[in-house]
Amino acid sequence: MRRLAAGFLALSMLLGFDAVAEAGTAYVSNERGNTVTVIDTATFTVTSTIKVGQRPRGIGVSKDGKFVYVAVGDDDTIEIIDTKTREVVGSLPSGPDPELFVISPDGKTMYVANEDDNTVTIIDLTERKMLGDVQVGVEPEGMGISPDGAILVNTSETSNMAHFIDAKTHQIVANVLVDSRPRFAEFKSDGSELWVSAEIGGTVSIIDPKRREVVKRVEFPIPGLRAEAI
Amino acid sequence: MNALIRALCLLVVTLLSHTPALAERIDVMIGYLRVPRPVTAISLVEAPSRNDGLAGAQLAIDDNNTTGRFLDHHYSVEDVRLRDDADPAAVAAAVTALADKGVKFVVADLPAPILLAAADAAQSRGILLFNAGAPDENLREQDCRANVIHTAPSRAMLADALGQYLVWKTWRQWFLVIGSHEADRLWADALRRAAQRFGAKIVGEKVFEDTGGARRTDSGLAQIQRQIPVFTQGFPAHDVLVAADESDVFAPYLPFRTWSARPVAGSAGLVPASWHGSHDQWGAIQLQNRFAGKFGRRMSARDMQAWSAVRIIGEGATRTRTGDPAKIREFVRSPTFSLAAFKGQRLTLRDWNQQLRQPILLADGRVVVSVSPQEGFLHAASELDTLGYDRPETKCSLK
Repeated sequence: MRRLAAGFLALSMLLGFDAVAEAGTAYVSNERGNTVTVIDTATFTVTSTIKVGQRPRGIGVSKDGKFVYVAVGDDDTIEIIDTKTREVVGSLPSGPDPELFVISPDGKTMYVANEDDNTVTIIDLTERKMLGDVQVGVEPEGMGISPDGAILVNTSETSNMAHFIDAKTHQIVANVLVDSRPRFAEFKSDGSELWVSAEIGGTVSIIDPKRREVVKRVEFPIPGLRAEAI
Repeated sequence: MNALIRALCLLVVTLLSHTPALAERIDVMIGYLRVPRPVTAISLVEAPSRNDGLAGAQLAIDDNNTTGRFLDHHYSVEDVRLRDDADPAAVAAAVTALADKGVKFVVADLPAPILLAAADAAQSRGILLFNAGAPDENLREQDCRANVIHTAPSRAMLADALGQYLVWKTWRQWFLVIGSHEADRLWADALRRAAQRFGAKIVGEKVFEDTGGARRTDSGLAQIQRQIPVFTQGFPAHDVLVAADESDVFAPYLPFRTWSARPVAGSAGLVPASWHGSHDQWGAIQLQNRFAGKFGRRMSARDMQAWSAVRIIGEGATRTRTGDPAKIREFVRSPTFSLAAFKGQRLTLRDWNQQLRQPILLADGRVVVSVSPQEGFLHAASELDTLGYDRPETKCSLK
């Protein structure tokens, strides 16, 4: 179980970073080290270590590849790293304890889950300004956005819901109950399905984004292993 | 004519069953029953707060209401204090007063006899009661009740959690020091049972009489420093000194003062509990931050047990879309129920006695040392059932 939990963490880290900023460069946030490690993916060597704020967690790259954004949870902000100079060049106004975020397909807007505050913050990336926030369930974490940028999805880990938020009006339009501790939400590239993983439930719920209902629940039974150990 | 009435009735029933449950407002009122507990302790930093337990329930009310906003579900808690010598009539009156206000759920932090009186009064009013405080085995065994769910771990669960770790450490020779109160004797029974189950040996026992000595006298430290070595002198060879002192009379005085240089476990040193203020794994840091932010102190085991009770009610109401205790009980007993409680795996109910299965933390006072069940203690159904009385051993038959 513990090993599996560590595996989940590693997986969320992998999904959290994006290796396309520069060809063959990966940025990894180190939650306990307060640093971001830069890795050359051709040689698999560490090329530099960038000192950032406290408890760096969610990490992502701007659509133009110029910046890497890293949510520093204990500093209640999102730091901006210049991918050329590899230095922190600014910050974005999130709510308290930002964890994961997504960037709109047009690259202009960022949506941040603030885990301690039950809110999602909406940030204008050009102006580096907060545009508003949305009250969601307890412990917001996973963030997904539909390929057309119209619908944002946030998962709340203790409410066990996927909240559908209209990206224009900033209003919640639906709340879909999923299994315990939903951590990650991802749309299919054609927007036809939304997949939400539940860490404690040990399942993935496949949601029809039109009907906003769970249409299938994927379980991961391992022969000889009890459900609670998965 | 009769046929017409029957047809009309059928129509009404059909209409009712198609009423969408989504938009229906649900109010879940929860009573919190407790008796005054001592606020003194040997250690000032471990003295229970006046809202110990209740604070956990209040935090879970907040959590439930945040979720409830999306469903039009509304939760509230009412704190009711009984005298610690309340007779069954007084207990029943308090439960009845809550029931008259529309309360359908009670979280109880009560001594075992008062809890049983409350459970029996609750039964007649259809109230589901959660035991968030009493560790007594009899409440889960011969005196179990169908309308009681236990979120507090039993003494046997705590003892087994500790026992597995000591055996994993190969500290198999235990010397047992027991307090002179009834709760201490019951705790010692659980520790003896754990030793026998997991292959440890109790090489000797000694009772520490509570002579009413001053816990906080001016000459205290100097006296204790001299008394404890004498008290522990001459014990047969042992790997660990296990203290059964639920009454908090002497155990914290044992570490660093014993005759032989041996670690202490049980009621001091390495202590098993459902929660610890330092636990931060598996997302627990979020709960700890929420709790400390709201109450300005760390979350205790009792807070966690009350939080779990109110969250079980919330999870039941959310999933079943009802505030009906009978339906929620049915759901939480079913295999589809699970509670995420920041302990690395889902928590479920033992259907034979409605005890919440849960990992137990072993903490040294500052940090969590380990979490039981320990690796290698196997079980055919659930490794969590290696802690406490298991299905084949139970004396409980729920009616």
